[in-house]
Amino acid sequence: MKRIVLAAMAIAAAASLFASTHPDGLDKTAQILGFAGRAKDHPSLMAGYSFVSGIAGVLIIFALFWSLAYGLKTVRNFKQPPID
Amino acid sequence: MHIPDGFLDPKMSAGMMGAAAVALVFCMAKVRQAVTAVIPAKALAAAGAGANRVMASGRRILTSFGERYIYKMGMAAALVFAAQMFNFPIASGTSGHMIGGVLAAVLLGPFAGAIIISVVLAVQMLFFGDGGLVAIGANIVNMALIGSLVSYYIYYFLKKVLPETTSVMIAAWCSVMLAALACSLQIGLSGTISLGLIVPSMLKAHIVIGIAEALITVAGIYAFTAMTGKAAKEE
Repeated sequence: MKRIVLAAMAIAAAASLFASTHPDGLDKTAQILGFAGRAKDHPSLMAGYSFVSGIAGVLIIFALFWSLAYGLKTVRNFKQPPID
Repeated sequence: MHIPDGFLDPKMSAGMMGAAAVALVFCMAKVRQAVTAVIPAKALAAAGAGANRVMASGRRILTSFGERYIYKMGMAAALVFAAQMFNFPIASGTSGHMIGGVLAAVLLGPFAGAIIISVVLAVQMLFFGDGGLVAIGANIVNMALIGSLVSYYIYYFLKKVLPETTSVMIAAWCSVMLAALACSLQIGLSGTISLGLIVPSMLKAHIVIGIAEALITVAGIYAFTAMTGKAAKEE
């Protein structure tokens, strides 16, 4: 579990340093066809991906699923019987 | 391929949100079935005091398989998020990035796959301003439902006649092309630009991105499986 999350953090960190800054397929198409200007920004917690925010994003996503599993383990002190 | 706000008209945005919501509820029901189990009444009676709490929660509990499955969903989501950050240059000042829909669906099944991509999209939208707030429904339809759930079945049917790796690659390429097609239809039908202009240019721009998606998907599945043991859905 740790290895994959660490690998994801490493990929995110590397992406913040080496990823291409060119517009992606949709943004480029919008520029060529001349409707890119219609895009509106909306408020978000940290616009864009930096070294730190990329790693934070990986942790946020993993934490969401981890807490889901944690929350679902609500039955305590109960020996799980064999399920048929 | 994250649609920002402003490209879609309100009708399209609302319709896509509705479609996304309905499909995701269905996916969640499917995943719930996979990760929980109903405890037989006999076992409940034998369990004594602890059983009351189980009764209260509808006699459905998270199985230990389910717990590991959800952790694996988290790992796959973390990987997909990181991979999506990695924009790689393609032709003439354009870049592309991974969707990861087929990757997630092949590793954890189509329903979990759609949920994984939706969570990634929601976090990207809320925290990073990537993809519009009102456009989240359309983005979920394109990348999670078409790019993961629907594309999984391309893989599923191809696998019956083709080798595993080939099926994954074709499905991954198709997932990008289908998502690009859906995306251009939504923008075109919103009246932002004519369909005749956007559909061909979007598809053309994504041919190479799809090839990259296919290669990274195969590598990702291999790496994930090597690091976690066999794919969770086969357990």
